[in-house]
Amino acid sequence: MIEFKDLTFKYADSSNTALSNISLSINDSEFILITGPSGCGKSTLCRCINGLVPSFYGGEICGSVEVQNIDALRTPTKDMAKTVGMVFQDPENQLIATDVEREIAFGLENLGLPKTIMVKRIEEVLDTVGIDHLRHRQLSTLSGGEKQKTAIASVLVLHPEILVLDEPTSELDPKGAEEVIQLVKRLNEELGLTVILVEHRIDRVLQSVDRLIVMDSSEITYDGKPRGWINLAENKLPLVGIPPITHLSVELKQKGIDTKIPLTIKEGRQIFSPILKDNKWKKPIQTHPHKSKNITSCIAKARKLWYKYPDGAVVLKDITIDIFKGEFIALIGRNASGKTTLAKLLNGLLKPSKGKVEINGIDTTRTKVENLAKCVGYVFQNPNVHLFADTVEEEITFMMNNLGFSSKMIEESLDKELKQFNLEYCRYAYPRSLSTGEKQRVALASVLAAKPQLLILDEPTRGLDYGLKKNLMNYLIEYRKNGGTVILISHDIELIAEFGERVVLMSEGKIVADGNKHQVLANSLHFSPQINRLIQPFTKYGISSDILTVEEIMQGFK
Amino acid sequence: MKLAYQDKKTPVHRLHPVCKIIWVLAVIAGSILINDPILLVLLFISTIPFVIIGKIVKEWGSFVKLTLWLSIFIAIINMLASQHGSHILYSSPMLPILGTINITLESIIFSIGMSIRLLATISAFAILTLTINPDDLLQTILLLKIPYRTVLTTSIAIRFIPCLFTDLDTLQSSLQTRGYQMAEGGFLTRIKRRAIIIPSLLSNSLERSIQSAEAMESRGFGSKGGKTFYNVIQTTRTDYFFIALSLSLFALFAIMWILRIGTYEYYPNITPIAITISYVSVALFLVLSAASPAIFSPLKKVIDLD
Repeated sequence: MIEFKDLTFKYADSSNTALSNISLSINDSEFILITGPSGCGKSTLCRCINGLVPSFYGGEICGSVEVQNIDALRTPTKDMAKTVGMVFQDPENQLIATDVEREIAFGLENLGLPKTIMVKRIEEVLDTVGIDHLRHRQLSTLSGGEKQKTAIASVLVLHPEILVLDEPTSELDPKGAEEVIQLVKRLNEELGLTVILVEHRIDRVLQSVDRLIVMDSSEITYDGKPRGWINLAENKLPLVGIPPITHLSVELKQKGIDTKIPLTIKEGRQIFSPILKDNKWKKPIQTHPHKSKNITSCIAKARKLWYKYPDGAVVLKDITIDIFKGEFIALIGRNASGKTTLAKLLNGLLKPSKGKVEINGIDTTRTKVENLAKCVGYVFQNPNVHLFADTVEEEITFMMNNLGFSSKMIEESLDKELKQFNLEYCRYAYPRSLSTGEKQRVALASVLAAKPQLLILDEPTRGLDYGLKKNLMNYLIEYRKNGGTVILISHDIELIAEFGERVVLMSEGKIVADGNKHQVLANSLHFSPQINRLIQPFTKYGISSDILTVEEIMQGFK
Repeated sequence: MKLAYQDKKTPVHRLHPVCKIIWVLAVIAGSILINDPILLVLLFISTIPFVIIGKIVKEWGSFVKLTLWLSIFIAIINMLASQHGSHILYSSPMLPILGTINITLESIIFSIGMSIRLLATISAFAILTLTINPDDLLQTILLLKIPYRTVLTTSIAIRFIPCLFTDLDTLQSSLQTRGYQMAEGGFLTRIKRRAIIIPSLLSNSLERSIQSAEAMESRGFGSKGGKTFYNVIQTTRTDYFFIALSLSLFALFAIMWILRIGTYEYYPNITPIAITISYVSVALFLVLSAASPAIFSPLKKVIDLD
């Protein structure tokens, strides 16, 4: 049992409280999901359970945390290891050894256990987690999902009663994330382990958890059954990332149709069946296939493009693509399908092995990437790689100075970007001390200030909460209104279904589909969004088979 | 292709790290004490069976390729700079400041000798790097009674080096895509312009090390009571045999150096090479030592259950 009593905590270098008056009881074998916007205190709450807060971080604390009758706030983390297993966000930085078996053994070695026990426990945990086949593999050769499973095995081997996972899937691709979530569910069901999971993509787990805890501004704002929260949260739905299938029930309720709240597609089909079978749909939504536009409006084009890395791996094979001014293109595909390589070729960071890339008619092999920066802006996944200056103001003007903008233009653009991205209050702050959302706004503002005609974003939404994603997409909509072109690399199909236009699907270095989002995403086994999967059995009743979002389904509803 | 350790489960990989370290030291000692080009060639050749048995031909090839380029560069500098030797193959016209440059047969042979010396050393180092598990190396260093915390910290720091290079690459790309000219201006200006990366690089490393420290604490690092080891590398008869061979190799090179058997005069005239019994014995010895991991039945790293 975990018992928080009136816990308030403030980090040593912060003026704000990270946790305010937290009182919470968690029973043995419960599966708890904690969610909430970035910076709301979720990670701090988790770190109180194994004593990292306050013993590792330091700060001001009052109240108490008892974990299996141990005073967690006064027990060093190393002594809590046998009771609480903690898995972190980044699969790379929490691994110590070089191969899987030794990584798992690390904790047992620290506890000084005899080798006979170590051998037995390692065998057990390899089987439990299902990574026996990886036991002799080097960690550097594992995928993100396999690394996270190894991290889970390396804490499970200490036989903890509680497993705490702090955003374990935020750095993983959808397949890796799914594998980790399935494993966690199984550990809770079969071993009766208490699981506390922090997660932004709640659609993945909502149906499996016993309790949902929602946090905001260092406080717990909801603690109870997931369906109860959805009823409660319906008035402020745009702020929370509930699954589209659940969102549909809320929208229908607002139209006067009261249904149960589904958490999975299967439940959705049962609950919405009478409505979807009711032959009262407006005529199918007309989708607009992607048309070849006038070639003069082409901002970037690739012809018969091949790319081979120095180690000989061919990652792009015969790619031909035109990017037209004003388009919003989502580049999707499995990991290692060549998305990022194509993006880096489209801004000149990489040069073609064969074929040609032209940006505004300029062959990228004939100029430097620095010179193409005026036309193409590139936003990296991790906002930290954009931060070089001492203040937010300097960071935003950095690119404009590099490109030789006049001081008048810099001044005007700076004020505009600070206002647009709501960064005026932290104009003189050190960019690296900001929150994730603020850093991302600074990164985006620093690129957009130079007014590039084409903006490429490499998985900018990975690890972001729904609110931050929504804000980012609103900035992109604004950018396009001013004539900008966007290429977005993403695994987030729901987001693309909602905001994308043209979708380019890549596989093994080739473009396998290119067209309007309805053409590419609808009826796809792997890449279709929830709503599209929901409606497929009901298309014979008149509903259009290429509907992708809640908004579209509601438009067709009489 | 990865130029780091990969467990390929070969007899070379299974050899005790101490064996490989002593062997590399012996090869280095040989390449320093001997300057006879034929013996140096033998020394280089003696490392090749390890490459084949260890299944690291491709990775080792990359090291050798790099060394060959370096050797060519050194050879050209040497040929231009060294004016010794009596057989002049080419004499340049009078050049300002430099005067006449003579390229001699002796300087060419000397350059080749030095390149082979470099190749032998790099080859041995490459084998060591590609076949020692860093965790085994850590345990080996612990045998020297260096505190565990120090060794582990060093080992983690080394493991982070590739991450540091990836970070550096990404940060440079980020600067380039924002129009920052890093390669502009003179040498000092370029260094100064690149220095902008350092705070970001350090900051990323610091964040990474904090995350590592958190993960280690959460898994009981620093707990009271004795630290145990899951993998204890056992020393086998092959290891002892190999250590004995490497030490004998050491002794052989020392004796040859003292008796001036392996010394070779390049200047003013190259000495004619005569294949003597000493060459044959050295060659046999080297081939035997190189083949020893395969001769013996494959070792198994046994988990000590005591």
